[in-house]
Amino acid sequence: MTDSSPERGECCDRSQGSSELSPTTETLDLSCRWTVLPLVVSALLWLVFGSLTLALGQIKLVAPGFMAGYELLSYGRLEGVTSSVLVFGFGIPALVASAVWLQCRLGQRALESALGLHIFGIVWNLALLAGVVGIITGDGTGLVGFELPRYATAPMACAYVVGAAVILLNVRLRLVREMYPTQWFLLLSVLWFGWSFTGAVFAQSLTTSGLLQYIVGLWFRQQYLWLTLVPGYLAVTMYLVPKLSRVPLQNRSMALIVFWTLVFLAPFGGIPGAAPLPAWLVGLGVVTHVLLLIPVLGLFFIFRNSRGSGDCPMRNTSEGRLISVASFFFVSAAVLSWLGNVTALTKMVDSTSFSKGVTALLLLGAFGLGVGALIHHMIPRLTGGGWANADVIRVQGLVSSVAVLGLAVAFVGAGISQGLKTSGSSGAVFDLVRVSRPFFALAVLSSLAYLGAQLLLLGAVVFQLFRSVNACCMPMISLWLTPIGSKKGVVRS
Amino acid sequence: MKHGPFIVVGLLLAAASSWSAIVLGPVIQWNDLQPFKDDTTGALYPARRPGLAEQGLEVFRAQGCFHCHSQNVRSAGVSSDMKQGLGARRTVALDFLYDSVVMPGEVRLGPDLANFGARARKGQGVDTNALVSSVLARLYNPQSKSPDSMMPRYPWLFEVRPKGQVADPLALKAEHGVTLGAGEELVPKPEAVALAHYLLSLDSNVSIFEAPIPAPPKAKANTNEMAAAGGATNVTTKP
Amino acid sequence: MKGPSTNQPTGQGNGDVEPRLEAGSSPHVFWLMSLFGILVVWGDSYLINRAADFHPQVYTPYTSYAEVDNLRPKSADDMLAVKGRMLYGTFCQPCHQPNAAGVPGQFPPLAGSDWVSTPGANRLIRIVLNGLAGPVTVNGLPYNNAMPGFKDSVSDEDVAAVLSFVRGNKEWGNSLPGVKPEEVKAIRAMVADRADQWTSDELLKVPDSN
Repeated sequence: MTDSSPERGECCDRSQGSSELSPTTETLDLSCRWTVLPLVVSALLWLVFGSLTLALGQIKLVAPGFMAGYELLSYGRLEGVTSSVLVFGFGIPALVASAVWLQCRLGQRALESALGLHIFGIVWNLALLAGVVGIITGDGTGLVGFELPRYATAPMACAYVVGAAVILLNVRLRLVREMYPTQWFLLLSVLWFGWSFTGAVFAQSLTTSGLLQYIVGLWFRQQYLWLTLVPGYLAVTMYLVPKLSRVPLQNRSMALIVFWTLVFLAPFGGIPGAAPLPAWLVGLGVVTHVLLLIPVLGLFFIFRNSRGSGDCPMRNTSEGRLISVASFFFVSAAVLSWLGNVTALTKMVDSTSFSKGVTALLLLGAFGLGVGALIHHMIPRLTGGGWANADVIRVQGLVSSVAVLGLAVAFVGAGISQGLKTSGSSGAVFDLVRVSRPFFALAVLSSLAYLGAQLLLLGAVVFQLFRSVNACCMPMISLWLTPIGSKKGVVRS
Repeated sequence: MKHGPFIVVGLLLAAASSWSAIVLGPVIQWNDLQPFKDDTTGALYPARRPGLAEQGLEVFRAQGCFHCHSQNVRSAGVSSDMKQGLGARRTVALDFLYDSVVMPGEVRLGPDLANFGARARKGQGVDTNALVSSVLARLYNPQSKSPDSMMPRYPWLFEVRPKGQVADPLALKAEHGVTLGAGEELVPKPEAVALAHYLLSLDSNVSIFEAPIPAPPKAKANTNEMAAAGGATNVTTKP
Repeated sequence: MKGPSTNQPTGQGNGDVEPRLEAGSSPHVFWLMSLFGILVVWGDSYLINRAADFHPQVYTPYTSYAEVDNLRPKSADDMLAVKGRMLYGTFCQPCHQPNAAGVPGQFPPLAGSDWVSTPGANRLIRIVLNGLAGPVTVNGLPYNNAMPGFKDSVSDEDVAAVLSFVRGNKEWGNSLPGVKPEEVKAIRAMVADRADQWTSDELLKVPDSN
């Protein structure tokens, strides 16, 4: 099969490709296996936990009496836990795992210094656990999106530095010197999160002024959404789309534009339009979210042109479909975020669930489904052999996509309906409750569906893991366990 | 791009410029942010919160109240907050000058609280027991005053204690399956009392430089005599 | 390992070819950069107009420091009116509503009200000091409620300020002359012994101006 032009049949059958990997590729995958897999499993565990707290929180909005007597399960506490777990429990470890595997494959060099990543995984997750327990018992910082207490974020920052150093080392040692766009975006994510996270943790430690901590919190939230998670999604898209469609990424100039406009524009946004901040900060936010349409347009062109002519339709693979859905959500998030900043429309959407909808589209839609696509793609390759049951994976992708769509519609819809009500001169708050209730009910159903989908994925990945452990280690273990002298053991000469 | 270091320098430049603009800029600008001094009365705004109210701020943070309640009166261009009576002027950074945690909030699933104290107190300077009790009652059972409310109950901020010689002035009526034995009463824990005092201290209806409450259109000269173009006796103007 | 092995040096397996980057450009790039340029120009002008020279004390909807400075109350009358508006918000608004329209059947309006629009404010001062209870007819409509008195909570200057604000607020259709603190002081002295609220009949016997 050295023919370079793929024939129809084999093109569509490449999701189970790992049994045909060359020895080099298999070595690469093997070198990453025991760092990437634990990180992916831990990320999925946190994702399942986060979906559960999200669902519980939304239930409480629809039925405030549900489990109302428990302090640890009150809505205020659950919201803090949900956002921390989804970003820091799922987002960052999944990003690091993706970065490790993609760097190995694109740099064509086996992973070096895996120990650093093990340290990262263990310390990060333990510190995060301490932080989540802290938020649940009342130690949250009070900053939306950055609620983990300092005794958690400080060790997490140290662990991250170790993990990032390993990734950077591997970038330095790569054998293929030409950096593919995915690697630019991964470099961006890894470095940027390191700088912004350590910077935010430092800044919070140095100042007692609530105002300054509030500003740092707003800035940090923008950085992790648009300059850590979004580049992660972009990296995965620029890897999977050309790979699956077997068309080279179109094209270098466009990729450069997307990269540099994102880097120089996105960091200045994130200031809500009606925040109690001076006009210049609010103005910067408005201008940024308009200009961010440029990288989004650039991505649109790249995606459209790299999708290929139809010989190898991406949609025949579960990861291809997920990446398309993720890209749709990304573009929607950017457009909604721009519209929300248009002064005439800010009246309708400010201080409502609208911004939560945009965050959900970015975090769970673009990044979540993007990394989900990469997980669908890389797990079979890492564990040897294809997915045990490809139908389960396809269903998981479908349910995930529908659930995220439901969540986005619920939050954005609730936001707009609340905004329309309050735009009138007398918006009694309890009218708002009635108007939002159907949307919050939709959010409950969607988050439960999302939880189910992530449980499916976690189960499939763990099963895959066991299968590969079985394949590699069980013969060895059974050999050790066989008593010497029996037929199966080593025969005495 | 083969030039990894080139990318890193570019990224560092972008990160540093955004940090300088969004974080360092306000740090420098707010370095000598002073409370506003009223020219006529000499009063300073904001005033530091009394100790109990400041403890209440921490309780507000710990309970996660900011996930549903904002403390941000928005300007007339982006909202009708002021017309709805949520405040006489928009909220600005100065309002949070002395707070160790600033929670303007991003979602309003419940009413805005920026001037909750002003609305509840109706001008009374002192937090009477009756006032504190009414706030506590709403914390214990929000649905008793507003049946449609989504606000959860906070029973863990209250406890059942044996009565002393005199009944506690802040004692509440027990609900939701809590039964009081003879000689017992349901009283708020210190956190609840602190939270109530914090909420009652929320009042930002003071005209300041950044957000002046504009003077209404000019009235006639301030005399009690019949104005030159004044009306007849007891005019009934249209309603 | 199953399947034929390949000898391709860059590890390109049969089913797993790493993506390549197409060098070069496309016409879309030109259009995108042009759009970028237009948006940058727009953004620049937006910031020039709205960012108020990056001044930390200018908040929306104001667009320059001078504009905010201008709105500072300059004369004593202005300051009194501002004070009156704030006092109204604190004491009167909960019942009489932010737009002074009152609540039909419950609280009488102050906007365009015949009680407010009297040439003199003697009755109004008494109402603010001691309150008003029982049936009263305002603008032809009957009300029967109990308004508390505020004589223990506010000073003479405060009463003068809030009444001047209410009587002179053009937004509400009132344009009557204001009230001076001396008048309030005189009336307060006159009714110092009275603790009860006024009734409508008692007040109508009092001349509204001296």
